[in-house]
Amino acid sequence: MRHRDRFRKRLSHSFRMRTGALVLALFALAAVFAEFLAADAPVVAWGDRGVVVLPAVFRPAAYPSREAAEERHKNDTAIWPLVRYGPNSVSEPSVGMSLAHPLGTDMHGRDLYARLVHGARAALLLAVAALLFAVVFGSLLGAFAGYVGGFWDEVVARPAELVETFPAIVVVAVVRAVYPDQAVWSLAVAVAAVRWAEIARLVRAEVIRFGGAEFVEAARALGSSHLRVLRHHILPHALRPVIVTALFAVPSIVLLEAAVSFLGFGVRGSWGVMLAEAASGNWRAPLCAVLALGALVGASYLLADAVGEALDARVAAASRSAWWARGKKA
Amino acid sequence: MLRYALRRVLWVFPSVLGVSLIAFFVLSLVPVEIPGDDSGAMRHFRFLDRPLFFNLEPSDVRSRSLQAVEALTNAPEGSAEAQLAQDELVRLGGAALPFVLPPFEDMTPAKRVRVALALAPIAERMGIEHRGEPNDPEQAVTFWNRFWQSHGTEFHAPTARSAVNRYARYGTEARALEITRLDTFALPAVMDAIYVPQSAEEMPPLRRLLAMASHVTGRKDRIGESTTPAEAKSAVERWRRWWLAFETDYVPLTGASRAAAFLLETRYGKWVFETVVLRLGKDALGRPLLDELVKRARVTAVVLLAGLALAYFLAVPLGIASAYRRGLLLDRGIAASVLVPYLLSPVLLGLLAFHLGLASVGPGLWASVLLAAALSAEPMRQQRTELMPVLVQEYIQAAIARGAGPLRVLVMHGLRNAAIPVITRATMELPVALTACFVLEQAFGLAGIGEATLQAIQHRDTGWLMTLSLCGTVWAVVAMVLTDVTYGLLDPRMRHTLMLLRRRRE
Repeated sequence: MRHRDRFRKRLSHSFRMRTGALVLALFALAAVFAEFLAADAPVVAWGDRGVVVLPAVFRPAAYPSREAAEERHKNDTAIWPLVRYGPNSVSEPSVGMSLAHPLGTDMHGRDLYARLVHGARAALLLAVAALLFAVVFGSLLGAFAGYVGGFWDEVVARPAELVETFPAIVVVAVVRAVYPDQAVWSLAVAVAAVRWAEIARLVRAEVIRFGGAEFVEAARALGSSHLRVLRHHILPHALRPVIVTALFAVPSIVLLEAAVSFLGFGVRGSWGVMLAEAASGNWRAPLCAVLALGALVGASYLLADAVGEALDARVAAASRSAWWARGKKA
Repeated sequence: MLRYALRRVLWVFPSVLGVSLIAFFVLSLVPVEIPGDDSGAMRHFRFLDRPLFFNLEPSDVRSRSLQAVEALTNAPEGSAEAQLAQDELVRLGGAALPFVLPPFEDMTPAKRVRVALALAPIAERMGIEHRGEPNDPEQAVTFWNRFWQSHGTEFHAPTARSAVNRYARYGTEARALEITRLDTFALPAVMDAIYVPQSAEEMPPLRRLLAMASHVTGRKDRIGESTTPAEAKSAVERWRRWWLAFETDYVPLTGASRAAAFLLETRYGKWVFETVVLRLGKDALGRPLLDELVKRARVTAVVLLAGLALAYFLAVPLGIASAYRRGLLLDRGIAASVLVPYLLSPVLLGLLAFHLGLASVGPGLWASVLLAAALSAEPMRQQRTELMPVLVQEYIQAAIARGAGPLRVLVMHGLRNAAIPVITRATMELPVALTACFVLEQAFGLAGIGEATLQAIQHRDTGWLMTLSLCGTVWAVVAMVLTDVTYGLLDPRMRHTLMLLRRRRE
């Protein structure tokens, strides 16, 4: 049995892994298909104007409000999303749960379910964009520094050390002063700007550890190029710590966004904005947000924990508190 | 170990330089709108008309006055450009005369007359106006030629300096005339001579100097008879700040100073100067940045450090217990109890506490407690994961077999190896905890660094954000060194590795 198979087996037997992955997948689906779940405009409509597909995504200008959308497709055959309210469309304020509003509405009459679904998109988009950038940038720099060594190693490693301990909130504040528009991308850049260093450190450590190994020497002797050695023989070792770190980074980024939104310069329409509404004494939106936040953070936490543990063969071998009993027996 | 730590602390300097360069560049993208008519002077005052990092052609009094003369002679008479050029010449004043008067011979007579007439307001300011000569097209050129022949030798920096010193000391009418006749040429010496008064006795010379500076520049910032030393101090600071922006309008750049101006006559160079000499300058609301920073840092530091200490005080025992009963009920209970505040995040914790009315009783205390609650999840988890692989080691089993109780095994044998990463994490966590700290400050209405940062973002106050970035850098380096030192102190093997690394690097 190869190590990979062992790892897979350990993972698939893990309750934490299954729960975490399932919840994360649900959130990811909600984020990707938000317009199918809650929007002002229909998913598909066909009638006099021909067939219209997902107008909320492709032609938002033609659908300024919910009423306009209803009017436009009055006589058409249409498939409507699950909830016929977008995150910004206003109806009766503070309504309880009903078929039209599965989670009710907030103090301004916005549908809470719609806000949650679209907030998931903001949260995941931020986390994924920031992590993608951080992992690519960090891995490249870390691998370069570790493999080349010497002067270039110093050039990368020293700033990375500094960046890792630099307060993220300061970077976010600086970026927000430059781009006050509450967009996802600028916050993602700010988060990535502090996150890459951790990845770079991990990758660099692994590259240095295996750079002098015999199998690397053998591969070089067989005529593999440096790039091939790095890609096929060294970097796979760095994959695991990077995956675990990235998974653990998801909840911390989502929580950072919530904190930043509370301070008033986060992402428009995110869960953090809903949380911050507690300041006005209305608990409906914050409660929904904290449950969603809890589910997302808890799920990625569980998944990361399970993956991290499954990757450490020694811990996985010792089940429950058997170590105590074994010691007694010996 | 001490030597190693000191060497690492030296990294503060390149780090601060690097971060300040990057932050300065990013913050220079913040658009600056200056309302009002005198936006040109204001832009000059705030260094915005300088290039960012390198000034290939620094302007000085020489280039400015030559440009003004050029513009004046080429513009049609009575036009707006001619008026602008004349205003510029008058503003430069006496400092421009050594570059304007000698080349009179090379100009055509018509141009000569125009320049000489444009200089008339300077003559009036200098108190040398004689029976309307400077305003008379027939006599203006002769007037200025005569002036330069008789007084040209006085336009030398050492002469100006001794004149200013004499004036500061004696303050007689004759001494005052000496300086008025030099006009702005004496300004560098005056700016050199001003000082921060310590007592009322030291005030009169300063009053004379500032009155003189005010007379030649037209800046109405003097101190009167009844001014207190504290007010005089801020007046001196204002003049020094002004001089930082306008010095090169009155001083020619030559040789070394021209080479230095390549770097110093830039926005970054000026900012560094302001930071070092003028103690960080002022924020957007006109408060001195350093005082503000120190005042607010006290609030933030108390909450942050107390919260962090409390968090680790809770997290380490919980982590041990959790690893001991791994997978059992206690483990899950502990995991849930630290995860819940973590998930609620400081945001909701703070708001909940605020609505429960906790903010009225010791807001600082509550902020620390909630910070601890929000922060304890991560170190708890880490303590647990660090301890688990240790507990399956053979030496632990040997200890159990020898009859050691659980407490002894966990603390004496297990924790010894597993506590180091957790403790070093505490130093790394300082910067991370800052976000949560800002949130709690905001929720409890504490006047800490967080509040000021929010204001700075709203006002797009680059000064504060620059300062914050620099503090963050110093902080990060200190945290780095602390981490290494605690590692070395706690783990002798690590000490060896650190030294080895150093030797290899050398």
